[in-house]
Amino acid sequence: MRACIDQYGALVWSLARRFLRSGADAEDAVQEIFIDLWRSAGRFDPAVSSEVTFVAMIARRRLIDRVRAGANRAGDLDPSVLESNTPAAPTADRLDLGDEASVAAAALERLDPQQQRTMRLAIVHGLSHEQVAKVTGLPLGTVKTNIRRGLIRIREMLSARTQAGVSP
Amino acid sequence: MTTPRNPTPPHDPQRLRELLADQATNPLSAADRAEIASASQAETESMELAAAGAHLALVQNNDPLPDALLVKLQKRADEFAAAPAAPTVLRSPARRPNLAAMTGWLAAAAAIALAVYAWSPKLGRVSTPEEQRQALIDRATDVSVIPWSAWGDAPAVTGVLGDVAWSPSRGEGYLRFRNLSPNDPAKQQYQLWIVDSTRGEPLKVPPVDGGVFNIAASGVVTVPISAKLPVGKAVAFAVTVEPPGGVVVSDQSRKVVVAMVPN
Repeated sequence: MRACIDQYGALVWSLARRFLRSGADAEDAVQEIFIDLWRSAGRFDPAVSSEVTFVAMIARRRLIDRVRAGANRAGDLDPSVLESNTPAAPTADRLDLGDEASVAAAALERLDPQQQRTMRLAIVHGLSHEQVAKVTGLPLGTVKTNIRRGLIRIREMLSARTQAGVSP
Repeated sequence: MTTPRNPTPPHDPQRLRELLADQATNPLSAADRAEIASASQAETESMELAAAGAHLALVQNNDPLPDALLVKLQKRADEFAAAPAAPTVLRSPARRPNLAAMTGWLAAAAAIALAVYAWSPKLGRVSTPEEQRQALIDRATDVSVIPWSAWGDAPAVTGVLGDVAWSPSRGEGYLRFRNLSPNDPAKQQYQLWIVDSTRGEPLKVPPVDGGVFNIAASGVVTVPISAKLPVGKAVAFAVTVEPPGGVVVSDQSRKVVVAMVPN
């Protein structure tokens, strides 16, 4: 269990801080997420995903649940703050990121800069679709379309890899 | 009994994919959640995995855990690992996870019997399965609560009452029993089976093993469900009595109760 925290604590904490406005909320969320992870461990299937992606999925799910339940969403809408510490292009050079990251990076690289920005704001910074529209100046419908197309494309590519027998 | 919801699923598969993509990044409205309540866990998770993969691809660095939070987590980890086997513990019997295929902590966690207690930040103490059940009912929008019934033509297990609370979208649920006889784990255990219609015709395909559990005392007992395989669409839950450790396929010679999920 402690090894789990050592390995994924930073990832889960960073996700929580990006999604939630309050530091106290984020701390609570991190603890809930790890409990969820330990309880869900038996459901992990290495044939379906890599371990790190499974962890990120559980964490994101719990954070979105908290936002829906009324937790204040983070969302400093100053674009210079939001985008100052994220790379200009997706990357999956690190071996510890799992195959899903490399597939996602390949899909994201094919998006135009506006679509990439939309994805980054929603997925990395946890902005709501409405917040993304406000930051980018894009119509809400365009924001939704960009995010949907990006994720559906990534899912299709992951599915194609699974069917081809390429394990995570 | 809570009336199960019967949402109209999206007729357009593209609409379903779009809503699942929305859900992976944004809380959905109640109307949208109702539309995708029929989506399988596999469909839902595949989109969530895509979003998780995108996050990992887009983020270069993560902030280290604050020291105080690290200490709290380590304490919770120690408590979780040391928690004694509660009166009711679910463990998959003959099917063991492929630990050789797993790495790091998940291999250790999967090998440990799941404790029924969990930490609750609001309560500041260990929450009970009944509290977890209530939390699921409060928070999930697609929970069905189905009472137990006598099983087929087998003599009814006298006086057993209770229900199954199950959320398809979360793959989470709880069994509740009143008056189920205590068992001697050295001689026999109760085993849960989940009939999943996405795996084929229910009468032809083995149900999903929901794990074994024990009843230590009479009265009301709540048992968390921990299905070891993803459940696409649960259509029934059933309990049998089996040898210690359970079985891979039940001969159904000792049926207990069944709960049929309404259409």
